[in-house]
Amino acid sequence: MNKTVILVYVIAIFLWKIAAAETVKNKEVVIYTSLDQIFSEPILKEFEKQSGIKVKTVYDTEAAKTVGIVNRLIAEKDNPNADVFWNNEIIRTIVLKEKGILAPYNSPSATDIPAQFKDKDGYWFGFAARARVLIYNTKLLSDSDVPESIFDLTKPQWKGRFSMGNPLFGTTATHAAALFLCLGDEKAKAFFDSLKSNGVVVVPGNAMSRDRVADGELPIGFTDTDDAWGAIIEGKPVKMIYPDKDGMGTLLIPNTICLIKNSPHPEEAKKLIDFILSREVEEKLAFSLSMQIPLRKEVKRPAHVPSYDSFSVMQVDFEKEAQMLPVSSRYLQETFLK
Amino acid sequence: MSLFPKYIFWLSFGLFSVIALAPLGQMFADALAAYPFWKAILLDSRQMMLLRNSLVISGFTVLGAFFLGVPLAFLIAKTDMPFKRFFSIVFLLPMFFPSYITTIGWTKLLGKTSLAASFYSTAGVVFILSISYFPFMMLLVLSGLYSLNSGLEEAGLLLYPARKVLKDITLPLLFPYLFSGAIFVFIFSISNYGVPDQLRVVTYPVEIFTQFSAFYDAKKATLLSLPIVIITLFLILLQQRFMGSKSYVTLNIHRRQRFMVKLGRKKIVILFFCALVFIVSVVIPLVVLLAGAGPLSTYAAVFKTSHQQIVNSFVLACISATVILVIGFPLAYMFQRASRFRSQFIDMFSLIPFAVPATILGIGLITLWNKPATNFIYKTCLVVIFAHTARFIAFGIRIMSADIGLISKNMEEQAVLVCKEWPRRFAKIFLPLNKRGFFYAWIACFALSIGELEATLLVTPAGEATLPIRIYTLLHYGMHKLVFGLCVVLIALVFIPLILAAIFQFMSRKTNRSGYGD
Repeated sequence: MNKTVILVYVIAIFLWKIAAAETVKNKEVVIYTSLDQIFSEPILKEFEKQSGIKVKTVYDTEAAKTVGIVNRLIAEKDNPNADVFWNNEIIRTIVLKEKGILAPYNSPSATDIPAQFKDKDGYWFGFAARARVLIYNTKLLSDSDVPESIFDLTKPQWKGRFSMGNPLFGTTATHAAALFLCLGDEKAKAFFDSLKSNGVVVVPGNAMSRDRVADGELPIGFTDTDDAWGAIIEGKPVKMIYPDKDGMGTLLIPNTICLIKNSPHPEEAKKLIDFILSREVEEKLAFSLSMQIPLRKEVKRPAHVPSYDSFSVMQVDFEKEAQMLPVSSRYLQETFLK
Repeated sequence: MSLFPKYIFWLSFGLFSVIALAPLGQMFADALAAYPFWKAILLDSRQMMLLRNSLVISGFTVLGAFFLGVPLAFLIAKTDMPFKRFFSIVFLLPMFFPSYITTIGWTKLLGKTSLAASFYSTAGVVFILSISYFPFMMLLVLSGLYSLNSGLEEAGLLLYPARKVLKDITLPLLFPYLFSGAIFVFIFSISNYGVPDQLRVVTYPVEIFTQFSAFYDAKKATLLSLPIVIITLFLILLQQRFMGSKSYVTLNIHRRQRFMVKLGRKKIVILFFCALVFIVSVVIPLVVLLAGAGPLSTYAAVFKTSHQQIVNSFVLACISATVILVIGFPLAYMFQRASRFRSQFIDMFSLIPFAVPATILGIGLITLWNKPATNFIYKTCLVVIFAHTARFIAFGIRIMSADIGLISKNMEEQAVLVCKEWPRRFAKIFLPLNKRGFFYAWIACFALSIGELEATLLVTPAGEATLPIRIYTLLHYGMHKLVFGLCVVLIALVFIPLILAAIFQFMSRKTNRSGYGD
């Protein structure tokens, strides 16, 4: 009898676990997001609370570096599991659009987003941006020693003294594709060849690049504003600059949100998109530890977070930049990852 | 006479094929169709260079595991070394630590020192893989030592000193086990992605992963994994050639040996060596993780923020280990009792899903099961269980078959005569006799499943993340207390069944086990 009870109990747990994520239910929405969980989760929980719609989330991981989510969306194309994709950058959103994964949706929350930060047909919308910056250690460099341009890092005095995230992944790859677009293939290749010969220290990601600088191992490195703010808030001896203000400008990388084609819960998905694109959320992200830069001037932000039009922004056609990604990635794979 | 009717074997093999082989078969078929000029891709100079890198790393890892595992096995089995029982258990622990967690620990320790440059290198990868995989070498050699016909050794002892007997009789007889251990370690190393990726060394599995991540080319990534699969199949064939009908694993690890080498004053040096291996492979990563996690409040935060992932991981690993036992037992029986051809067939095909990079298995599972008619699989945790089963069934089969091999065929035939209904025969006779094999197989598969990351992260349903996924999600921010706390909790979850195993072993030794052997 006891063995029967145990067996029944075990089978019940088994069936419970299977049923826990089974079948399409009403009042739920599935979102895949590559925005760091500590920033995106509070937003999604707030939506749950306000709307009563259960949010099920797949987050990005360090191992995947967005590959898990983007490849999963591509693999699931014929039978989508996700309703919404919230990307922390823009290029891979456009890759998904080109692969026919996305559906257009003209969200009423997006009417005041500047035209250059949204798809003209409503396939994706940009909001709450980060900028590609140089972070430097104030104990190792005085403000006057800091290079004004990323091209200065090819000079001999910086040999072996600066870091960069893996150029095949994340916003480093996005930055590389932008440079290939803005400079042209030849100049971009020459630039990256110079970085290589000048001993750039390639680390797995922006957070590691920031950490190497914050810990005093290197004086300067590439990173994003959210990573830089993380170190500044922790009291690390670092500052950041928005490079090339007198030249081609600083790359601005917005978060993007999009509706998945044939999603299981389209109505709930649209409500979630409307919520995430709202001014309230953009303000929350500006005041969060990531200090994302609002793309709408009316959205409040902390005093130390600049308005996106207060610094020189690199003029980039994101659609064309997405087309450059495979070109830049192949070259950088050969150059840096042999 | 067989323990089961034939349809049970076919059912098991069918389930194994559907769960493990079908996703991979589809991936490879699609890849070869998409790239008719696949030879040119595989023979590209960059791919050859990367494959060479991986082969070199795996080769040196085998050497590292050899120089650690073989002496330890001899010391445990053939000498009067003190604390043998303690060391025989603790030296198995690295096998159960996910290698990425060992890397996290050592990176935290060395990453900011002057040794960092040396650590973030091929040497660092070899070091981590060696200390992670030497237990496999040790286990295989121990199996050999406990399985040897001691009569030969005793005959040698009549004429020669113990050391010469060890060198000229024992060691040559151990060659199949040494070779098998080397092959296991090689297979593990050549398909490992996490450690080279964390230490920024470009290897063949890293390249395969890059094809997914940077170029979204799942078919090319699948194609690139073909050389690893071919190498693995070749090595398995070689292993079968040398092992014959010998078992890879023995569960009589404390069977009394007939002769022992007395160490005398060398005991201190030997103890120092054993302690050093223990410290490097187990203590240092564990202490670094504990120190990194800091105060108890970290664990409170871990349970507060990640309790769902902890429960998910534990329950899924329990279910996966059980499913592996249920599907794997008939295959283990066939592996032990069937003809040599069938046995080799099971051996080879059960290891293929492990040899293929887990990311490809993940994409294969999505491709095969993500259809409206099979939502009950893909959109539930069943798909995660499938991923674990595919990856680790080979281990369950080998451990269970080792115990099956200890039961005499005569006893089995008597059981068939006494009890005609096979379910009753299995439950009342065979199951109690094999409970040790079941238990150890369950524990091994539980430990492997709970730490699995690469396939799981691709197929886990939304909202059902596991502990390894949680660790890697937070690792993005760099190493901080919560990451270390989560790593400690993951290791603690693995320890629970290991402690149960130790208790079980203690209880088993008190039980009279008459009736084994011919």
